[in-house]
Amino acid sequence: MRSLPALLLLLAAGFFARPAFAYPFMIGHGYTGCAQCHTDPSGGSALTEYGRAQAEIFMRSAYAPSKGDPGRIKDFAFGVPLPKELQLQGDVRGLLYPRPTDAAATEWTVRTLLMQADLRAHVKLGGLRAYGSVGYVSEGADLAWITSNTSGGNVVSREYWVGYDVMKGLLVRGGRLALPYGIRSEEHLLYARSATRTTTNDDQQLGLDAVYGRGKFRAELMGIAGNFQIGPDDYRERGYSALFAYAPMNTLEVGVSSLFTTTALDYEALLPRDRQAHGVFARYAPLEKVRFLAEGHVTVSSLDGEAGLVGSVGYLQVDTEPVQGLHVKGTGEWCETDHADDLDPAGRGTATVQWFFAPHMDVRLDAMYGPLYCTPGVEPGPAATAQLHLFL
Amino acid sequence: MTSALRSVFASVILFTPSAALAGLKVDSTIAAPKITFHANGEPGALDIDAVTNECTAADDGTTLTFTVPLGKLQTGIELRDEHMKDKFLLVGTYPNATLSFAKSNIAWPTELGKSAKGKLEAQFTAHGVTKPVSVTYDVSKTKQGYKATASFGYDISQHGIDVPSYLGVTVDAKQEAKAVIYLIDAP
Repeated sequence: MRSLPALLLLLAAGFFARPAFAYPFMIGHGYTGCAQCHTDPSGGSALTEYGRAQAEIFMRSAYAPSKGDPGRIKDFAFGVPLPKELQLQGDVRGLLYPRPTDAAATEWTVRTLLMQADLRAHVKLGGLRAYGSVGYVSEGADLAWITSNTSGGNVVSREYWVGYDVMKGLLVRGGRLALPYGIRSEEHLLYARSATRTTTNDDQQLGLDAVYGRGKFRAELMGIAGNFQIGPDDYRERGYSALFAYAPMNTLEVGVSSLFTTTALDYEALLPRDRQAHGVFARYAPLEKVRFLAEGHVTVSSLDGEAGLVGSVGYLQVDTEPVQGLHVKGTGEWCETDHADDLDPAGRGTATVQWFFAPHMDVRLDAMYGPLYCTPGVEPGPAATAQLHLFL
Repeated sequence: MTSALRSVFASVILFTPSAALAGLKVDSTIAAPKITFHANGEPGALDIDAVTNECTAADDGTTLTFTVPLGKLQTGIELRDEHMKDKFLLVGTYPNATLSFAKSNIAWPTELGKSAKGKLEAQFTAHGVTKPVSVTYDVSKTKQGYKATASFGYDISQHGIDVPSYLGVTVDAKQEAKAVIYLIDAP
């Protein structure tokens, strides 16, 4: 276990690392759920064979008329056959982050990070399932570390669980899991993810979970036992996280989420803390290539038994795909930690171009204006990032 | 026959729905018909709608038959459409699905705004196989004719259609058809 000061120090750099996958814009293709393409029924994990096929068929740019079935190129490492009981996936994601070295922004440096180098495996034997990931980051992802290098890279394990398909559509599992809350997305910089601590980067926690999906409904309830990759035990949160979503049609999904945790010593505030978040989310694709994603949540934070600070967080995102594989997105966000104070809420606008340009590869450029985190009162500023992602 | 009796007979004939509905046809001037074949699947919340706006009605005075060409069904994914039509529905051999039932099963409303709701027994033909189905319907009188909404469940395995399964994702054999159609009386 690592010491808390080291953890806090490195949290400042933690926003860079991100896991791959979880593309909620797939609702534009009529997929309201995630379980067909992801080994985690709520998304954001290794791809199933079907998901790999979809990635080839209509996620990446096509430079020739479709031949139908994508064939072996979709498979692990571009064509390594695996038994159907086993899914393997490797992910490598690097980032370039230009930033000024002085307040006047007269000089700039470009920071490079290895955000992700994960190997993930999923095994399914009858109704029994097991999943795990292990990887390396050059910095960040602190809450998923399994090594303790405070001055450089670390080995991380973001998720690991065992589960059983109790009945059609119902999986019960235990282990380190992404919290079921809001729209699962690879964009962990979203205030709605970071402020509620529900990113898939490193906010996973140990717990017991039931996830259900059939027809127009999906739901998940997780009892949280804490993050056992930090310690001592006082820092671990206990509570629940849950979501329920309904898709009245296969291009629209609406849902509600709820989360409550309590901890004896919050790792940021260093005080006893109860956290709550409750909110709504929606995904809608009026056209196949135009998708809207939105979330709005009320947050409550009670420190050391005091009355809770009531805040809110949310965003609206439009994702367009003018040609297959090329996404142009716009995102507007807000975050307020305490509506009773005089500070202006944090606000941010982000313009994104993401291009799935080749089999198993995509590049992404983000230009944003606003604080990186939910920090009301902080002067907004510009930032930009570039990412390259390859998966095997 | 007395003149009074003749009047009664004439009235009965005039206002008997089957007599008034000399020939119902699909009216696309208000809105195109919308026919949806809905299927769930697994794993997870898989919800597939195959939709077409093509439908015709044939009315011989006693039996009403709706015919849906399947060649233009769309699910939102081109490859899935190809698989559906070429590997499972075999639209080259079985280009249409039909639903037939006795017109007298519906108490066709005669006043504007009035509607008739209920269930009726019909014959559903797909993939060359005809099976009885129970149709839930709602027919309302409009200025020009009727607006009909209907739905019924069917099992593709009973029609000899292979249950679609692709790379671990399987579609349920039990599916549902839904229709919204405007009809007019054709002389």
